[in-house]
Amino acid sequence: MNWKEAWKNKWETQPVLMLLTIVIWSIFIGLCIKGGTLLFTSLYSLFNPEVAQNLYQGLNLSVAREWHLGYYLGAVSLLLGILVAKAYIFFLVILVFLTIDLVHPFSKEVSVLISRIGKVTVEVGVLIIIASGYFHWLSSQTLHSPAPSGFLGGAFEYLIMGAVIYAIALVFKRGVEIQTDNDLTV
Amino acid sequence: MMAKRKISLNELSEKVDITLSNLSILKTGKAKAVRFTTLEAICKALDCQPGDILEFVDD
Repeated sequence: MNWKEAWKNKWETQPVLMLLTIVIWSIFIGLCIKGGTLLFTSLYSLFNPEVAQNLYQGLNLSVAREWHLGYYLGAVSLLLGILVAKAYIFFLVILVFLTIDLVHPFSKEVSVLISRIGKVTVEVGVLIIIASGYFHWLSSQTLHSPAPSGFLGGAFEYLIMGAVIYAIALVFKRGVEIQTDNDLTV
Repeated sequence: MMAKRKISLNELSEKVDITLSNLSILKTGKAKAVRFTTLEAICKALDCQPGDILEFVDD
């Protein structure tokens, strides 16, 4: 069965799953656009410092840009890293929805993907904490708050969510073992 | 036992209504468990006892 037939078959048998996949796709594309925009404006700001006044939705790092280019790049890199990690989470979720089959849901591939989602979610939480501390330090040095609130919210929530997803991954792994035993029961 | 009864895997599969792949899993020793109903059906088809087709091997 080629991918077109597999896709069509999934739409017919599991439409809710496919609708969810489309929603997740749109979130993933949104995050990619956000990350791409920030990357473009940051690179452009290296040649045109005025751009740093509004990198993305009011993010103003112009004072940091003038003060120290290295610390400015550090700040931008942290924000980009957070966005890339968030986009990767949703990419992994898309892969889960495309791979999972409700007839035989417990497969090793899906188990590995869910485990990876948990780990990356925890990493996002840690990155947000590091970035928050960095921006706090930057604000104290430059006496200017760059307002990155849209990027640095929810660290604790990401950590908790990551831990919960990882626990679900462990349960799923056990499910895979039980399914394998069941498949090899004649 | 299949050779004794001169029965192929295909024929046995049709007689006991178990898929060829499952019978193959059983024959190659990859099965994790066997249902009693399956064992009963195979023994009936091959006219033998469970001990004739099962063997204990210490790991």
